[in-house]
Amino acid sequence: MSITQLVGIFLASILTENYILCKFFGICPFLGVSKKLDTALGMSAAVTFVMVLATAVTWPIYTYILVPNEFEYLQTLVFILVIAGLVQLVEIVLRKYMPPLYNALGIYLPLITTNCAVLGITMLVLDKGAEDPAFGYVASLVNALGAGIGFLVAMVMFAGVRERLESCDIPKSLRGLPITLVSASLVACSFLGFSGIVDKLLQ
Amino acid sequence: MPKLNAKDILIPTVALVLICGISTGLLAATNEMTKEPIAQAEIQSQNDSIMLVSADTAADFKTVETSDDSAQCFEVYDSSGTLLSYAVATSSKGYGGTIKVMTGIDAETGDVIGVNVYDNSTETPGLGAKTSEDDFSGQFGGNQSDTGFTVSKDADKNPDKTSVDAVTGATISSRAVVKAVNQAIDVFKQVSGGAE
Amino acid sequence: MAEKKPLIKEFTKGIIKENPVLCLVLGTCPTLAVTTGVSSAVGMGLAATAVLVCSNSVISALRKVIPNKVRIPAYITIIAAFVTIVQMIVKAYAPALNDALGVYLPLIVVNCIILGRAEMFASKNGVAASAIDGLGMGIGFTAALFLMGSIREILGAGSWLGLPIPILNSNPILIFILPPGGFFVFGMLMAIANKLNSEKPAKNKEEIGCAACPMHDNCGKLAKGEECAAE
Repeated sequence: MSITQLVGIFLASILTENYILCKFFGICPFLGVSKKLDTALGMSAAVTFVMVLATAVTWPIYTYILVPNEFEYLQTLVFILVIAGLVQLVEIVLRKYMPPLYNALGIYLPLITTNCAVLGITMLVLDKGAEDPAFGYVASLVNALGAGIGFLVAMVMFAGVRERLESCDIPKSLRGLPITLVSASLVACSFLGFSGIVDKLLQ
Repeated sequence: MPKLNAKDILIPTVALVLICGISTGLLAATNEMTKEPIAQAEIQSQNDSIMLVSADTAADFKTVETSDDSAQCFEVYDSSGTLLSYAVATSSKGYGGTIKVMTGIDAETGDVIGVNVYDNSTETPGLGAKTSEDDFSGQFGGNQSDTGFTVSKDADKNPDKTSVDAVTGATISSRAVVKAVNQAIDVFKQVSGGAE
Repeated sequence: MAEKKPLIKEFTKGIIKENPVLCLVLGTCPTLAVTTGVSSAVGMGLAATAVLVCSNSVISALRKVIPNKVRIPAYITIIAAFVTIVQMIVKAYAPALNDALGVYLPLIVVNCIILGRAEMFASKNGVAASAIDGLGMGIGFTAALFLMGSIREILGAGSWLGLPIPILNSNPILIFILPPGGFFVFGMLMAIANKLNSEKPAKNKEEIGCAACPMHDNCGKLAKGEECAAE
């Protein structure tokens, strides 16, 4: 795979395939943790990290263990357990060897096991690989990284929107979640404008 | 910090291993039971698609070898065993993922007689997914095997090709279908050329 | 305690008072993603209901056997097994639905409704009550998805269950089946639910996202349990 293609995958996963705004993965943290900029940053950094790590681990497990033995049907079960184990492992390692990083990301890690964005990316890259044999390990990792960065972009942008919302006078029944969702809808609209941009850029 | 003894570790571990083991066993059993229907369902969807892009008199078909690994080619026969047409399954990258297209091409004239988009589940519903509707796929037709197709937006660049109107708001998906049809035409040329 | 309550109550609470989507704000990802059409929305709802009833019953039956420390991984394993079984059955007998739901079908595993009900209800109640609770919650989930799917399909595609609707069919408001429309319709439905709830002296539901998610508690417990294991 050429560098241009990898850049294409990376950009596409941030802009046109944005996990939150276009594919609706990880809506819970998107709504829950995007109130403040620093928590939004911490959460998305942790998600990006786990996404790449999970893809790095599950891809070889699927390709070299499950497929040759015709255990594809165990995919969901194995992946969710691997991700759960991985998250715990990362937490232990970080706490022991990298306390500053642990302090920054630690509280978000347990929330990630049930974040569908992580399980989603590990399965989606395999789907892509099944359709296009050129979409290998490196491309999958790049895709995972891009998806994580896309998650970060959406979270940070939205944290900005929500800080502005705080000071607005909102009708009573729209307060809280409803107005948040309506603003999310407007942010998603802006991402619609990116469709096709990546293909054009690389042509 | 409470001291861990062997029992505290052993019991949860054994319980978890047991649960995993039983779950795996259950899955293996279900897999055995559903393997056949799943495979059949997949073949069925392709078979239906082949019949859709063939003439009404089509009764039977068989697979033909092609040198293009990404395409599958089928010869379609009527009930008396006369070769009617070819059906070529190709795929190309759409907006959200792969679009699978079946193209029917008349064996004698080389006319495109039908196009069926049989899997575009990754395209946006209401936009890209509309490429499977007749309004779009019905535009392919006629003796085009020499030139191929293009979406009308790109007609300036490809003046010799026949243009089809893209689905509004879904140029990428429409282009992908056009590309798959053109690939099918290439496969047809190669297969029918070799047969003559 | 809960077992003494009539079972019918366990059933109806999930549909109206504690509707998982509109009142408890659980399982938002599939709610937004698969509601572009009525058929995929209902398909998703039924698949999740099947998983919910099975996992709730099994977890409830095993609630005294599963050691407390490994209960979350054990629940996840059980849920993942049922999700895969449902997925294989859908693939075999309703391939079109499998195509429509795509990756969201296996993602039922991480749908917080299921783990949430396992932790909040099934781990504390009997098998019958848990199964009924799962059924009620599942039907509530399906109903909410059905509502979202109907609104989005009618406005966005001009059809309902694939049947064309005059006028709208030739002038669909496309944005409703695109991602922004999903957020918008969901926001509006929640506003209506808020409005209806505010007329009654119900408790304030200002808390959103993770705070309202039962996983919020689990997450904390998970972290604590793991601390013990690590030290």
